[in-house]
Amino acid sequence: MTFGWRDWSRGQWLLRSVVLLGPLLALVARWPSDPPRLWLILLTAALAGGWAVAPESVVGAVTLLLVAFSWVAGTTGDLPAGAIVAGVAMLAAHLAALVASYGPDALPVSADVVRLWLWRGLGVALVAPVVWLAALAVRDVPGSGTVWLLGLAVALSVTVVAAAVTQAATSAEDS
Amino acid sequence: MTGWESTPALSRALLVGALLMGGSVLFGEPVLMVLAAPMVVLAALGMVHRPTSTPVVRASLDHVSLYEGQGTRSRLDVTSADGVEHVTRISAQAPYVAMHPASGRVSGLVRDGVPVLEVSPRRWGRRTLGEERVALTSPWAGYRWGPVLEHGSELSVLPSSAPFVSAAEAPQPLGLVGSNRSRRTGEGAEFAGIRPFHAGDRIRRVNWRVSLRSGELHVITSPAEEDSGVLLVVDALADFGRSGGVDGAASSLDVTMRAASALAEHFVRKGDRVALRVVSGQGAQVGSGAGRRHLRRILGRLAAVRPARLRDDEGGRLNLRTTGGTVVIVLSPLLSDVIGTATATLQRRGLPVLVVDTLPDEVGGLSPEGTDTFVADLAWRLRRTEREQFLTALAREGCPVVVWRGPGTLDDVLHRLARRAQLPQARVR
Repeated sequence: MTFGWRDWSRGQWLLRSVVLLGPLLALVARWPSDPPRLWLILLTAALAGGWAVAPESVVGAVTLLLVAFSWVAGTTGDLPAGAIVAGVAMLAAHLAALVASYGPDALPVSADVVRLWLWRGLGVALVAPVVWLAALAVRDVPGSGTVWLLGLAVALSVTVVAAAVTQAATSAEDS
Repeated sequence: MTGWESTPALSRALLVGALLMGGSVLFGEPVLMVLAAPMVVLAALGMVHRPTSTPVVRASLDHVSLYEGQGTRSRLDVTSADGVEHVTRISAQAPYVAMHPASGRVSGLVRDGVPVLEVSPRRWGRRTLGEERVALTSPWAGYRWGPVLEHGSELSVLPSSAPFVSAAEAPQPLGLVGSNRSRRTGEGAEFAGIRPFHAGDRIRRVNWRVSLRSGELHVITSPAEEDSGVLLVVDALADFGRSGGVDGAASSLDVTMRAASALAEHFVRKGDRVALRVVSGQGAQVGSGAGRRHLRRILGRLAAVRPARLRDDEGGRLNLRTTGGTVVIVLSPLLSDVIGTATATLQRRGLPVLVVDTLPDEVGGLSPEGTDTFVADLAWRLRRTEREQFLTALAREGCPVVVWRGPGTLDDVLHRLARRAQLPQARVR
């Protein structure tokens, strides 16, 4: 198997740099309170490198899951502001991989496409601080436990299902 | 793949979002919910915009007939494009076809128009563009359609006319209306002589000054202006040398085609009747005719030429089927006996024949890959020796051979042929 990194355009190099650096930034976002171990940084860097080379591979999901669960291993029940940075960094890496995988490695990156996804990314990234604030607000409510978490999950799921149903209904009307 | 399939990005967002959300609930960790939320929203938006249309893509060219070196655009028509946000086109490289961008890869948003590839054929002939892979992506990159394979479009590439002009007259004009000075007198514009008036002469041809001086009516005579028949014989039995396209080195067939194109254009512009005969295994001919439309037919036939040897039984009975008064111009690298025999036969019939040597100088240094250079060089020297003998034999027959040099190549030879045509000749029928 040969990776055509020599054929990458400048735009591709930029996108893949974001894919590489996003998970690392998400990992070290908890630095002041709980610095990650060296082996974890190296493992994440290796996985992120693999993801940058093959942006459509499953390595991407593994990298993001590793980074996310490393947060749980380091903190118990904490809700540091660094989680927002981590969420945004993971999203940035995911979107960079998405744009890079619109075609083969040597495909030049369209500036319009990057601009479109930049705006979309900024919009979606707003969800992270909103959820963080919501979690922070209900953390001190007595007896909440995992109930509020379950509620958040249900709320997110209901939003997704409702959106899907709305879309399906709109499509049916159009046809 | 011809249906809408989820993209790896959607799968990743779904997997990561779902696992982090589940983990958050299971372990009671709100931080995982913060990390999962953008992914879940992104996955939801991708799924919501799942297209229901069945797109049909078809690549087309703005022009299907071009001169080598010219350019056109390859467009992609996407019908039923509801729910398509992004298009990616990957075109394979094809020989002698330049593309812009050079990689043949373009992509872009549908709202800005489906991306266009610019193509430019660099060599005459029938050119097939490389196969193209097309992928469509839905809004929020949730679903992808394709990549589907589109067969490359066909281009008919006409040989570019090498620069050519000639001031020489045709040796034996024998037609109705044209611009060549004929041997017989008629309604021309040039002065030929003054003779006594005969019944039937036009009054406007009377020369009053001579008539008054001599005491009887005299008229001015002028040579008739007639068109001439030109037969272009193109030797396409083999192609010698390497072609670098319109900007690079020329093979023997490149020189032949571009010279034939230039000659056809020149004679048609002069109002002469031009016919074409391609000598090759495929064989092709265009009958005598004049005008721009006829020129287009000739160029189209030249564009379809492919080098091919004659069958063994065809070589001996090659008949170029020419009529009297036709100027025969043979364009050949002169490495085939068949052409030599046919040329000598026409020469003996008394037709004005001239041969244009289209063998490029740099052919000698080339040898096929994997061939012993020494053996190849020796074989080439043998061919050159045979060619020299062949040229000597043609010269003995009185057939002029000129190397193609562009403008003025044929002037001297045509002048000499015209002078020779005035002399009485013995012909073999």
